[in-house]
Amino acid sequence: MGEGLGQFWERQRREAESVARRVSAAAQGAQRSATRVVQSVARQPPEDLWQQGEQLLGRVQKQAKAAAANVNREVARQVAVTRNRIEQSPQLRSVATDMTRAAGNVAGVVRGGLHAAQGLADGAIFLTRYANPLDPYLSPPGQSARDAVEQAGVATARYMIDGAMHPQKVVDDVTSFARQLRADVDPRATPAAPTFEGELQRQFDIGQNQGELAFDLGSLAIGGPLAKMVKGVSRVSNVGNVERYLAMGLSPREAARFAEPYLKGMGHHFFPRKLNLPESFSESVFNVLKPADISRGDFYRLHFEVDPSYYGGPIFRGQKGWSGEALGWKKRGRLGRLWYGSPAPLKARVGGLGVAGGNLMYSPEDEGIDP
Amino acid sequence: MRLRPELQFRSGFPDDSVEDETDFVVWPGRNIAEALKAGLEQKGYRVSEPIHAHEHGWELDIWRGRKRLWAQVSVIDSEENYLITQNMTAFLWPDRRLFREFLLDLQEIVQAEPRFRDVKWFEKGGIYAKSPPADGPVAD
Repeated sequence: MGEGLGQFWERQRREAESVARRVSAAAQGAQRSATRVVQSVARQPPEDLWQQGEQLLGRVQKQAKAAAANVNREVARQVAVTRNRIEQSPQLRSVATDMTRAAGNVAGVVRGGLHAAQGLADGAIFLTRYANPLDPYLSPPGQSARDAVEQAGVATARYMIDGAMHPQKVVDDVTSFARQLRADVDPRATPAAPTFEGELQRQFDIGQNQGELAFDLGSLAIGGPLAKMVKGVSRVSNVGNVERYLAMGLSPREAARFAEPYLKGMGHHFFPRKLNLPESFSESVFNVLKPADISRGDFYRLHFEVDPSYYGGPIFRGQKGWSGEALGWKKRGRLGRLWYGSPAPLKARVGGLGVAGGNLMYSPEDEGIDP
Repeated sequence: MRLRPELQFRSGFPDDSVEDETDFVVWPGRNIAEALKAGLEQKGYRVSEPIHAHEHGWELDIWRGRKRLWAQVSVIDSEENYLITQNMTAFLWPDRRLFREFLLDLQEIVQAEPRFRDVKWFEKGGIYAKSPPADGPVAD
């Protein structure tokens, strides 16, 4: 019976200790030489010191080179011996790659934790900025925390809309993601490296990816409620948030009006009033979008975005009004209007049927509007 | 043939809105809708009384025989106002000829009323339509 794995690693440890002892002895010799030099320096005139110094330097350089060459040779010999033994034994080879990947797993979990910590730190800074009413003024135009939340929402919505209109794109994206994920974490998904060292490196990288994925999945399960809470940030009411509207360029009086709660307005009619549908439906919660606890300004924006026949309105009698175009707001495309413009009860009650119906109702309005 | 059913214009009509201490009680634009109603009735259309549409402004239901058309006046301020029209005839087979005649009649009414200023006609989608505005409602 050959050498067992435990015996193999024990012998490797002993040989490494032997190398370490020899290096330590060389270092002690160098220290003694240096001590003698220091002692002699005190007794020598300066010109002799220069001469002796040059000689000493030459000797030390030679010794250092020789020692380094010895250590290099010894390490290379140990590596070669180890590699030969492992390569000659399929069992050891398998154990080595498994151990390397396991080491990668540990490193990956650590990497995942580091990334998560970085993310939490970034998130904490972001939330602090979000809560700071001066952030819109301290940040470059369009780069405040609130802008970031809105842009992220817009980007997500755009992707959803684009995906709904071009389902193959989503399929391709998901396929590509799955393929990349498999290549990252499944050793069988990519070919083995041509050399043993390369294979160990590949196994270590895959192990790291597996470890980070495991950390992410674990923290996702634990952090679900937190994620839900963070998602809710974008739904915070802006009633009373005058700063938000001042930042949009409105005067203080106009901003104060925009920050008032939207109470008396008629809301947005998902199926337009011009269709002359029965009032029992047309004015019901299934057709009128009028979110609770929403500010005038936010409702005007929502209404502007989802209603093709709504461009703006007056703020105070006889004064300049607001225009969505002037404020830089954008009209939503067909699916955006269907999703954001439909009241929650309609979504919940009718679902796809309502969307299909709304699609028909809205089709004549769509010409000329970019999604 | 492409139609331009949406108008943007500057207004010489007085602000006829009514506001209390908290909000508009009557939104502006009724006087514009009444001027349009009068002009359309002179051209043989049957027109509803202006319908208060709150933030949207004022609406008109318009009939030629049994076929219905629709218009909405939205006032932002004296410099920016919109008149949006829509062909409400049969959904699947809309009467495009009637709608074209209606828009040409509307053009005559608007041109005859000096309080409609700097009128621009847009395709569906209004100021967000892909094609630029024009001086009239019909393009070949």
